[in-house]
Amino acid sequence: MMSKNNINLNTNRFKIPKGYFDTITIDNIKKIEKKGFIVPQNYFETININLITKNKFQSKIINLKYRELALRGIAAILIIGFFINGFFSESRSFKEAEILDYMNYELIGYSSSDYVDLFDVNEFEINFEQINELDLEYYIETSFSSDLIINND
Amino acid sequence: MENESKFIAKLKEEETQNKYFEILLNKYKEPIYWHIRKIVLDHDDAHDVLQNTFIKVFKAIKNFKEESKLYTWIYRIATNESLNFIKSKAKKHFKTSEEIMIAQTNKLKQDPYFDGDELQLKFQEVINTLPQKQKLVFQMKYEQEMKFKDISDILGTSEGALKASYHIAVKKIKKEIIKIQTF
Repeated sequence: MMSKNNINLNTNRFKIPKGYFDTITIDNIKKIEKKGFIVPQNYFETININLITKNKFQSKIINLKYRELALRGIAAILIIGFFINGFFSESRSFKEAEILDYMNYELIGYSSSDYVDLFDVNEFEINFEQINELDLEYYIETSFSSDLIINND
Repeated sequence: MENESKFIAKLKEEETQNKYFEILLNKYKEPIYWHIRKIVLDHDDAHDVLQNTFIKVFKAIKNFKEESKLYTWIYRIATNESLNFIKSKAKKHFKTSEEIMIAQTNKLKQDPYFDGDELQLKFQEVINTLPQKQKLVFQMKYEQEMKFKDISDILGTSEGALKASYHIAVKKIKKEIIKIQTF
């Protein structure tokens, strides 16, 4: 094609192997067409009704012994499960009783300053408006000895 | 072919099929190959598509209804096989057809079956930028010198649309080629 600008483009810019078109024959085409799954010679003649009926299907027999064993296993798992659950439950309550005893008897020797060290007072929010003066007086009279009150004045 | 209907009838008969299919193959293998090659670019790919095309022709000839000429029917099969080949290659590599064609064009530099200089390579790159149908029309008209009537039968598009498409394609390619040449 010659354009106004005399651009001459080689339209046949592609090459082929030597003798390529001689390899494109009907035999080659047919060979490719037949390619696919191959079966052994005379395979389909070997398949007949006798071969199919010869193979009898066996029904599945469920052995009752295994069923019994399975049930025993499930029961054992349940018992163990209850036991473990009961054990941990008791230990939790046992722990609680232990803690309460400790608080009531073991901590008795702790002073108020020791309690302050044990617990972070800042965690507690004290609402002073809710404290009744009469209750406060009663608390002081009953909780501390007269010596301590005198000393703290 | 002088008496195409008779030829087709011979192709459909089991006794004469092989003989007449060989005649058909010898007549069309070259033009169909080049048609395919201009689309897929690579020789090995073109070889695969060519074989697939003639296998399909051989299998489907019994159902050919002669609604079109035999050679436009073969060309239509070849075009579809080429485009499907590109699509399936794209799918295999998780790419688009356009990306595959760009890659194919880039491979031409090292291709022993590409007989082009730098300008030819740029020409091919520019063709790749055209929309698919425009590319086909340009290749069939400019490179294979087919008539618009035949291209219309093959692609199933009106002659008017093809002429417009071809005119736009030529304009685009000329513009790009001139740009390349002036640098």
